[in-house]
Amino acid sequence: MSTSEIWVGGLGWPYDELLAASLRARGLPASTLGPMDRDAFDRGVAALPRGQCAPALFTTGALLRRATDGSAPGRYLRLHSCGPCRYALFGLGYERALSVAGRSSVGLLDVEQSPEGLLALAESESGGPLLDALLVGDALAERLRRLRPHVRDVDALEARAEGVSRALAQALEQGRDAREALVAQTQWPDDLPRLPARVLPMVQLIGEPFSLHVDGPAQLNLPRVLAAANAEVTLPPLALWIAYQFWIARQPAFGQSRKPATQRVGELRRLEDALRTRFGEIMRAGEVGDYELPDVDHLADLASPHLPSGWRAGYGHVELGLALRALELGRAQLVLSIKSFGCLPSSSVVDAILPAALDGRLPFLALEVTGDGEAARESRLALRLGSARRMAEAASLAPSGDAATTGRAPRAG
Amino acid sequence: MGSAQANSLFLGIDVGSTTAKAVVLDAGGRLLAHAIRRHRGQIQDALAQLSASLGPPESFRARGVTGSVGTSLARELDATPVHELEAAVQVVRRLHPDVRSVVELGGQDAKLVFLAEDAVDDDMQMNDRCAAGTGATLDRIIGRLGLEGDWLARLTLEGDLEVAAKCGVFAETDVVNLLERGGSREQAFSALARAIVLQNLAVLARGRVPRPPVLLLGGPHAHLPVLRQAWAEALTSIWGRRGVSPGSVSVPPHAQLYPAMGAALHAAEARPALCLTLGVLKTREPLPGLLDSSEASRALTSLRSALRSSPQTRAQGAALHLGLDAGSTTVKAVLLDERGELVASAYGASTGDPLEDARRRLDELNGWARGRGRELSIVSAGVTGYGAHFVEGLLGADAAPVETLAHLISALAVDPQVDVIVDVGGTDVKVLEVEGDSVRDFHISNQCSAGLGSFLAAAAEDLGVPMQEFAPRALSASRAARFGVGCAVFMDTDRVTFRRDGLSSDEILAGLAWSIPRNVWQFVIPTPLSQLGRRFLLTGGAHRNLAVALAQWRYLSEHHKQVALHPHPELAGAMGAALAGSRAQARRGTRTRFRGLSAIAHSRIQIRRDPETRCERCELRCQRSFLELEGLDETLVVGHTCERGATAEGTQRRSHAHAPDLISLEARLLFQRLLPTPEGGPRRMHGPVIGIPRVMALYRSAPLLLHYLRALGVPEEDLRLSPFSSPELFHSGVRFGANDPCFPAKLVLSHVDWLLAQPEVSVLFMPSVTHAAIAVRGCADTASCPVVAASPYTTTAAMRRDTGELPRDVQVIAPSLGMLDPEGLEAQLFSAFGPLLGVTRDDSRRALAHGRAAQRRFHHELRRHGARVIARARNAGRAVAVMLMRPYHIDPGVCHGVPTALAARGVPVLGLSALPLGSSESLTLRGEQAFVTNSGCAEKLWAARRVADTPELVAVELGSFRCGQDASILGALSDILGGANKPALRLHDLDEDRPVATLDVRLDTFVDALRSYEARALPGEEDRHRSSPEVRP
Repeated sequence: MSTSEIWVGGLGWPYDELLAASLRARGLPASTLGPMDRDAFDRGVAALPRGQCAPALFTTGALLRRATDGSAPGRYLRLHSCGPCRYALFGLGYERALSVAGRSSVGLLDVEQSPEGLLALAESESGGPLLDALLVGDALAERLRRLRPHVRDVDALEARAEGVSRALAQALEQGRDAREALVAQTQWPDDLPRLPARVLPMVQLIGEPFSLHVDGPAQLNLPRVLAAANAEVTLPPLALWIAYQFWIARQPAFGQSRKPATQRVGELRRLEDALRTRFGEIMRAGEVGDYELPDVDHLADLASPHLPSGWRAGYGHVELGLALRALELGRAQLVLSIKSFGCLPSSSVVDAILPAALDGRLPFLALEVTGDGEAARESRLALRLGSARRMAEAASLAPSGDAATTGRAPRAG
Repeated sequence: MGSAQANSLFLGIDVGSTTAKAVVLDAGGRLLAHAIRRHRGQIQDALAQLSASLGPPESFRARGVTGSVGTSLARELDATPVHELEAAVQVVRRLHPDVRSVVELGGQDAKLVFLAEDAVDDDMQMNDRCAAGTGATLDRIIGRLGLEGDWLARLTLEGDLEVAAKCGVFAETDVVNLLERGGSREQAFSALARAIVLQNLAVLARGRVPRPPVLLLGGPHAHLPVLRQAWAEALTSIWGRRGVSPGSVSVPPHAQLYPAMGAALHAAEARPALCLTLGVLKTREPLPGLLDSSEASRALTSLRSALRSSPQTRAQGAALHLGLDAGSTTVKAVLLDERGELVASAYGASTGDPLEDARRRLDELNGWARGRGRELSIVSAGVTGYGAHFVEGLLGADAAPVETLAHLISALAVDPQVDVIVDVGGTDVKVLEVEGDSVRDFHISNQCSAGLGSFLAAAAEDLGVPMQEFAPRALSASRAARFGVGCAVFMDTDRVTFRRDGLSSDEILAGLAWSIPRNVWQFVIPTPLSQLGRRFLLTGGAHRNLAVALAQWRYLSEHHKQVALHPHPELAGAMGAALAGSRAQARRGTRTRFRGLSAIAHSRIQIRRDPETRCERCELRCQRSFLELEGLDETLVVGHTCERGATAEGTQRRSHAHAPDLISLEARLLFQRLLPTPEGGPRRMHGPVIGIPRVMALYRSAPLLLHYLRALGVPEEDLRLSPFSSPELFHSGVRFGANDPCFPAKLVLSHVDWLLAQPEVSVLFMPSVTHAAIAVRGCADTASCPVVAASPYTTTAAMRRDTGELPRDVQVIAPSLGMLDPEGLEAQLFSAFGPLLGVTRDDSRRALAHGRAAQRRFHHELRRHGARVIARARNAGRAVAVMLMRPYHIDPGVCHGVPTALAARGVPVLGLSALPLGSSESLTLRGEQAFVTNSGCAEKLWAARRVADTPELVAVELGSFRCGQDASILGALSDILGGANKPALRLHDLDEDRPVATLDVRLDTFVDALRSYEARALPGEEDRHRSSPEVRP
């Protein structure tokens, strides 16, 4: 078995470091690929032919940067997550870019995403700890998101969160229980001064996992920007991506009509249930116990009148389902779709269907991530946020209605 | 305005991407005064001018500010910010309470508002990044053509739509080409106005229908009445199609001031701030200055010494050789002496009339000669460039090499050992890989002008910097703005952003210089620099700019390349044409064909380009121009794709030189009856008429599906397929809006719209094919592109957007069909058609078996023809072009007649579906390619490998704009084909409009390279064409 270091990257903060720590706890040398920043993006643009999607550009650039920083050649842990879309072909781009840079010794390490592979990983000794690492990331990231619009010093908050992330990574590397590690860090933001309570609009972010979870320019810094514009942000946990993988595995193989064996379906449902249970435990430990892991079947039901759940690519129907769920729950005043440039399922399909599906009942805005055309993008976002704020204020003044859903007080954080 | 008076008045300021506007309102909201200034990025200067005109802001009772730039100045101006669209709507509601829809065009943005009756649920839409349908596009073209305000004010709509709507840069190229091919300025600008409207309807309305009355705001609407006419024309048509009562489409007085007025009203009514000022969503570290090292300084000295600012020689002998390069931005003429040295040159901007431009250049050369007391004795003439087709006859050219060859000839005269020629001209970039005396491979940019000289010139003008100052000022900057790569329009937006962020003009100019090599090597050329040769020669007008030349040198040197500069980079094409002419004339040994300056000057020329000159011989309907030149008996025809349209009368017959075109055969076979309907099946006399859009996966599965339906008893007359795609079909449907997917996806909407317009169609069959059955093996999956599979849902969503229902009552059948799942396929088809047609399950099973047999027959026939064509070509020592494409590229409206054009040039063409399959092993993808999940990608990779391994096969890559699937294998294809040491033609980014300007250049260059390849690599007759005889003396 190779002993070269495993490079983890493309999940974003704090997931990359937590996952790397969990791998080190299993005795595997691991480190992160580095930030998906502008430098990574520019390196990717220089290395790849044009027309690639943003995640390909970011990850290729970060991989090249890591491969040429003097480190010993490692292995990049990659996913073929987007199925019939072209994420599966990132490997072609990685190999070519590494070869041109004279770094063909850098390897690619695949996570087997077939139903068999998922089951094997879930049932292995490593499965639980690796999953915990991602769930801890969900808890920390969500708590940070909730706090941002309500603290006076966001820089201090983020510095504190960064420190907590390192502490949690250390705990995981030492083999400590994830829940206990979180509980030990519960009070990390308590002494940070807060702003007075006020009515803030809620923005539901949807998008492919990369644009939702990878912080920085890959998502236009939107969670920070929105918080600075006095808006609350909600987005699904990364665990939803895992739940979606289990859901796919329960369906007939894409393009086939034959359903999986009942026994396998049963196993996968148990895995989903286990995931949901563990998710709840970790979120409660992280002081975000009301953070929800949406039910993928329910999302499929919501989406099905507009886009059959048999249509498969990337996040499939999930984005559409999340937007319709936001409408159903009535908490958000704006659905904001972060589009990774070149993401076909997201931009060319879901965004084409969503306006008709929402039918004006919930404002919708799609912002594409490339770094171009900044002026119009800010203007469009400002326009939508302005109307979202007015909606939230009008709802808070309504004579009736659930106070928890109308111009509500800040969530616990 | 006196300060006491101002104190009771309200000031509204609107600072956008191009202009700053200010208005003064009284307490009642009446407009008292206004001022407008173009700021060119100098915001503070513009504000100062406005202040001088209307009074200092602080003197007013209250101030409101708006605009993409203005809102960031709220604190500085002590003004209340308000979003420009909300500001404009505020005024609209106040002044025009009955208006239902508002369209505002600004400098860089476009907005459409559907006003709600309750004034709460207004639906406000803005363009996203692209400025295609905005004032920026109009400004570019007005400036490029030098159009006067009076002329624009009088212009009314005429002609047809022939200009791309999707992108402003593409539109500009189309406008210039239209003019060069004999179109009038009136036709060209009318086409542009229609394109602007179409683009905005598609991008902003996205299926919703703007209800009347419609109000048009913004500077472009205020100054261009033709735009209002275009809106009225389009909206009236849409209203008629959608059953909406027509109404007014009007431009109010002061249409460009509404946002500023709204800002003033906002301040006057003491409303709270309505605008959120967001921080910058990204940061860009600047690039280093161009001259930041001694090495760079030495390189600059070397480049400077290589350049020749003027001819350095006296003519040796009296005989002179004329060369003319009729480009789309500039027209150049040169005179060379017997040694091939430059004696004189003339250079000027293209006016869009290549014949007049040619005459002017010749006149200038004649003037040069007269100034020296000599008569010009021209003994040969050569012509090249986009306008060469027109100019060749006028001059009587001895040679008319395609411009790639002209540049090759000129480059070899400067450096006989050159490996790579880099030509950055006005409207395109050409990179030629040289092997011996021929072009081994080449890359030409598409219409995108991000890496071009014309973009630099436009940007400099916008900054108020004369071109002669560009280089010195750029070289003086200690750092450079980091522009994005790829799109000129986005770079224009970047420029505004950089100014706003405080970068100096010099730093922006330096960044623009850097953008040239970054765009060329990161955007235009898919081949890594490490795979190109070592000796590079820079040509083309952009490299006359030493800042650009140095940027290229620095970029290429970092990749260990040797870089030299052509002594006359902007004249290289014309010099190459002159050399070609002299060699052609010498080889013939006869007198030159050059008609003489007097004959040229006095020839009467008539160019016709109208509906009657359009060729109607096939679906392409090529728009031709007829050129009648005094003294010539025949009418010259330009703009045809094949020989059938080569004469004014046209002919139905193919010439014997027209090679086999199996793409056309494939298109016929797909939709014709291949097997007789089996006896004993269901019979129907009358039934629903089933409309099927001829799009997407139907180009793969048509035999199966159509024979299935026929076997279920559906009579032929009850199957209604939409026609092959055409510009008319596309434009008619796309205005009903969609997202911005690839062109084939946008076409679905147009085809469905066409079917809905056929009143007899009561059922729409739009299968969502999730998986294709392909011969290639070893790949992870054979799924359809998700855009292809989802096209029925995205299309119906767009069609339902306006009212929640389809435009008329029709049953939509959109089953998910996986072609690899026999049981599932049968179940889905029966579920879809069983109840509709009243057939049994057994009927359906038998019909599907019949459909499968037809599909097998189709493949068998196509491959049989393919094998025959390849065998014949092999025996003749000829190559066959294999189109690496997706199934829907068979549609002539999608592939724009490229196969026909190649066949007309004597190159047999076939699609990858016609390739004989070969061994099982050869069908299996390996290595990283095995992770392919898309059927089209798998087929392209397999076919590319087959081409690389088979000497008599060469590749023509076709790809549609924004095809994400193709982008992911671009590098792999480049590696496979690049390693094959044979020419390949790459036509990426095909879109709605035929790339007329660059297509002929690419095809002619490819065919020339192909003939050289045949001569050296394929066994055959000795007298086959070798390298162009004009290339070497």
